[in-house]
Amino acid sequence: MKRAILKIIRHPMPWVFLFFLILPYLLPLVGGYTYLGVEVLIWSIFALGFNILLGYTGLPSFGHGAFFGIGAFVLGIVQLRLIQGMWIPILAGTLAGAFFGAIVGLFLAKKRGIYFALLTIAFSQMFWFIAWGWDRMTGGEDGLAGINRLPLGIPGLFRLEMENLLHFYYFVYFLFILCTLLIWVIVHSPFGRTLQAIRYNEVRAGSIGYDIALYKWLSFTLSCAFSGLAGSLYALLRNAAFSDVMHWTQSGNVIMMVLLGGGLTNFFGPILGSGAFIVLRDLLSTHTEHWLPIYGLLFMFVIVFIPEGILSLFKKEGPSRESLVSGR
Amino acid sequence: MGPRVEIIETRSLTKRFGGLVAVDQVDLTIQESRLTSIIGPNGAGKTTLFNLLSGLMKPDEGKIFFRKIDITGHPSHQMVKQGIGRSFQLLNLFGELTLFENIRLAVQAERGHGLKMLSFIDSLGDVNDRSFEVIKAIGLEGKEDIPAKNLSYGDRRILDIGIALASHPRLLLLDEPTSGLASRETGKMTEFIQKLTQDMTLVVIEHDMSIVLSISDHIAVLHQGRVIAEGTPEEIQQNEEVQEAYLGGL
Repeated sequence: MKRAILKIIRHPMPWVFLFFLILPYLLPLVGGYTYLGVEVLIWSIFALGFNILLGYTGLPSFGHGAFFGIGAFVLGIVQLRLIQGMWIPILAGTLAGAFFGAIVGLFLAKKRGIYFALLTIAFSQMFWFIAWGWDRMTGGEDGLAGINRLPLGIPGLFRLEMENLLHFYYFVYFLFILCTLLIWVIVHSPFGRTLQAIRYNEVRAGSIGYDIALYKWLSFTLSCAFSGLAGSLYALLRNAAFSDVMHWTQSGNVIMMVLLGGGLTNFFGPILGSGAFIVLRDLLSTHTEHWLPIYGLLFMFVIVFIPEGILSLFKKEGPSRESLVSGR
Repeated sequence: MGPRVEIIETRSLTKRFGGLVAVDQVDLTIQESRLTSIIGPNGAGKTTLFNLLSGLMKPDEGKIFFRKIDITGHPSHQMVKQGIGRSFQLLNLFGELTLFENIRLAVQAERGHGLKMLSFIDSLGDVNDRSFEVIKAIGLEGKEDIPAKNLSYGDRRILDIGIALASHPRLLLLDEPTSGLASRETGKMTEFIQKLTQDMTLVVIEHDMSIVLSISDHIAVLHQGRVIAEGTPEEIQQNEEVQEAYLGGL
């Protein structure tokens, strides 16, 4: 019993959850605000899911912004035109991410390396053009405005106003915990190990009986589901969906977050990366108009001097060799 | 030796790389529970033949039958399910992963657990037990936690075969299992291979003629992509064409 408790408190997971539990009260101390906290949580969900593909399966997608955007637009379209609500539009955005991911994944499953990367860019540009051009559905240049954070609760029991940003923060926090636990289980499952085997040696993984294309496709589709969920939440946060959420720079951002935090060697890297990325951007942009070059230089510094990301400076726990000790 | 049953048969099997015909109209029949060696000079097409038999490459022409079933063009993961395992000439391991994990992944594939997403790896007790069995069978117990890339060269060669064994092959293709081994390790490997013949059919690509002659029931000689001779070790030693093409007056 005592050992079990020790094991839990030595694990980073409860500390991460605790940190985000009190974050809204810490943010004002450093000049931040709740909105920023919600952004970090949403991008953490996006980046953790994306890392199933990039870190664990070793597949570089430069187009996940598209599925993030699809989540945002589908949430908006469903909420504005079909069903007033929260859960169903969010679910629809998530499933739409997975669905379009599954279709695109069919074209990608047998590709690797640069061909894989280029195709992801091509597909994401295609989706972006559709979002940009399909005025009647997506609002085109103007985007979809008027997305609402509707109250949540159980009728007769309790009711939480989501327009209150702090309430919305804890709603996203709740989903963040669910996603983190789910992704943790997935990457530590037999399936997750197989993905890592593919990352390390695709040919041999095939030669011991794994259908590589099937696993790549599943990994891609799963990661797109989390992109879709994150995109839905982002649309709720901004009360709108604009085609810029699908822009290729979003795809780049999520890659930077994973690399910056150390997602290639640590499960929690994407969370740290999202936090650092968003908070830094905010701090720099309030101090100077010329924050982008400084931002860029910082990234170059990380890539050159700590190529495995910030968390690699500490303990390794994730898709690394250390975590892959025997299954006993 | 009981009645001869063929386990694998190729008909006019052909593989080209641009203008080069690496495997040229090969008709080869491998008998069950025997050890067949494939010999031939470098570039004779031996490894390409293995790549075709194990599904790593698709043939341009011809057919492959495994236990009378047409398996031509099946991908490698299906070939394993059929019962065809292979080792690699250039070691092909999960170098970053531990020895245990290398074997465990193969056992997990064989047991069909690979798609389980919502259970932890430790919960697969049968997979772990079987993995330890395999490790014991290949004589590498006690080294389970060492990353494969840190094992000695000889151990890595054994592990490469162990990974193939973990998926319970009926037919095991060994691509130069003794290549690069010191003489003491070569002796150990030869013993190991002979022990394997009790449980499965083996096809071995080997350059060392003294080993080939001592372990083989049957030998096929490949030269420029074609089978130029087949027979018992004695027959091959006496074959003049083979002498000329390959053995160089052994």
